[in-house]
Amino acid sequence: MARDKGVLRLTNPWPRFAWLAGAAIVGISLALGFLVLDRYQQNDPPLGLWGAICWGLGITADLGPAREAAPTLRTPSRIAWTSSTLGQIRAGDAQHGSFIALNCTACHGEGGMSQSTFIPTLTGMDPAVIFKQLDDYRSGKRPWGVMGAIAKALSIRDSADVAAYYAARPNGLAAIAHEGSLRGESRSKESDSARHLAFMGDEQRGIPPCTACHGPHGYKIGAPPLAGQHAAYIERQLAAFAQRLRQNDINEQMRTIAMQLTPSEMHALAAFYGAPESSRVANK
Amino acid sequence: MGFKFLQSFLTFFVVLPTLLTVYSICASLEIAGRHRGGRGLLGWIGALPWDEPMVLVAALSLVMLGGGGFGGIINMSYAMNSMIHNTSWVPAHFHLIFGGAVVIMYFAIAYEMWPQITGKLLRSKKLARRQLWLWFWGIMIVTIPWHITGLMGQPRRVAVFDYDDPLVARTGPLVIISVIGGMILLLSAILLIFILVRSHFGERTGEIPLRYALAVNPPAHVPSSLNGFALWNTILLVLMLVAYGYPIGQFALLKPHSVPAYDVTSHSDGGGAR
Repeated sequence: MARDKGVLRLTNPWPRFAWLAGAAIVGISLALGFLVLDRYQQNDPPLGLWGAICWGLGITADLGPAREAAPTLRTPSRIAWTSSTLGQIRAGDAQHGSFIALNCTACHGEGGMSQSTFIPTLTGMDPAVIFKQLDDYRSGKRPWGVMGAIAKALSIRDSADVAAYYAARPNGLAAIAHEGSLRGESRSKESDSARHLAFMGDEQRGIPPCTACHGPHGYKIGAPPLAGQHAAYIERQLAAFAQRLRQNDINEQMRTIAMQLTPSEMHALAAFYGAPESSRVANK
Repeated sequence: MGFKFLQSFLTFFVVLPTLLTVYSICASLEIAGRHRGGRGLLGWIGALPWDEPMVLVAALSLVMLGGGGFGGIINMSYAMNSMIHNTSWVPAHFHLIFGGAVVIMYFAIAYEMWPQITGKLLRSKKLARRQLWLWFWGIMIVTIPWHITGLMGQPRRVAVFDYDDPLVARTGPLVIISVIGGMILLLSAILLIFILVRSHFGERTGEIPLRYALAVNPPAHVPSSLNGFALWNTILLVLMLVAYGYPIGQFALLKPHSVPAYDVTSHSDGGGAR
């Protein structure tokens, strides 16, 4: 069968056709790949012909090593909400936690009902919140001298125990109630700006409603209950997030939101969530 | 772009030999079916000797090649690939193509060649057909959910799966189904060995002459370029150099990028002190 000689020779019609077809395919795809398709950049104007060829070859102006060292990777928190973390929190022993909490009363008050407006109330606080904040203090992710020193003295188990203790205390913080919230009424008529932000957010500025994470409409782990917290404390934290003094929100959500708020909105929100001093005394 | 498009474009041409293969196998089967008395548009299909493992496998293999082939077109295309790149779609695709369409053909070849080599006939073709069906369904049950988890974004290489994580929790049931398919494959593989061993130590013996398929219309003349690999291997070598020479050579030219290593385990067992 193999009667024709020179299977690689171009005088032979079959190899000639095969080579020509191969060359045409390569030529077309090189032209498309280097001259046409790679001219169009996502966010930049189209490249010129020479620029496109260089770009396709991977030769760009920034080929050399960057002059500045890349900033070190900064993580907002060591805590990730993995099943093992949640398991550590669930294992918290409130009985043992009550002993540890004796160290907290000097500042956070009897049973976690803080008397100082700048120190948060812990009564009824979500245990995941206390656990995470203690770890953030411990690792310096939330820098605060006193709490950093105290948290370093506590083990992981101690954190979980004291979190369980405060979570179990009655008459403390809770998700704020809203008349229409459970019946799904339209809340678009909220006139008060703080109430509007809390229940509706502000689409224009990309601010989600506070209640989507802090309750009652939604619950995101790590978000503390706000109703009954000291107004001054809430306002201070919002300002700290906005100025990036506090950076331990895992997904940067509070920094993003707080940056969008005006000082008067922060004040109004803090007042909306914060309990008046009189009711606090009565509560105690 | 650049060389990536060239590679994508050249890869696209794999559909041509694949379609030629599908065409010639289907045509061969049709000719055989009509010789056996099959009539009408599809009558020849029923006339084929379906009790022969080889015929059954030709059909099953084509089905798997079809499914895997269409998935492969997604892999090779420049834009659609970005949807499934590095997801579990990719291993699902090549298991369907290789583990399915190719390996099942090895099994049929084993059933065909083993008796010819050893002179021991298969004791039960029925059991062999069952083994092949089992393999077919095993591959289907393994790869279909696997493709779906790929579309859901499951990466193809993962050190640890934590199905408590809401991000991956919904892929959990599909992975379980895949594992069940894997069990079926294991069962089928054990059955293959069992069939061959049992036939080997069986009573039935016989001489089967080795026969090659003959062309219905024998060619008068085949150009030697089309009847040997010399030309095509040379073209292949040149194409490989054009498509991969520079991109691979670049590794020698470029300053390596430092990729930071992320510790995925230390913070979650921060309770090590406990």
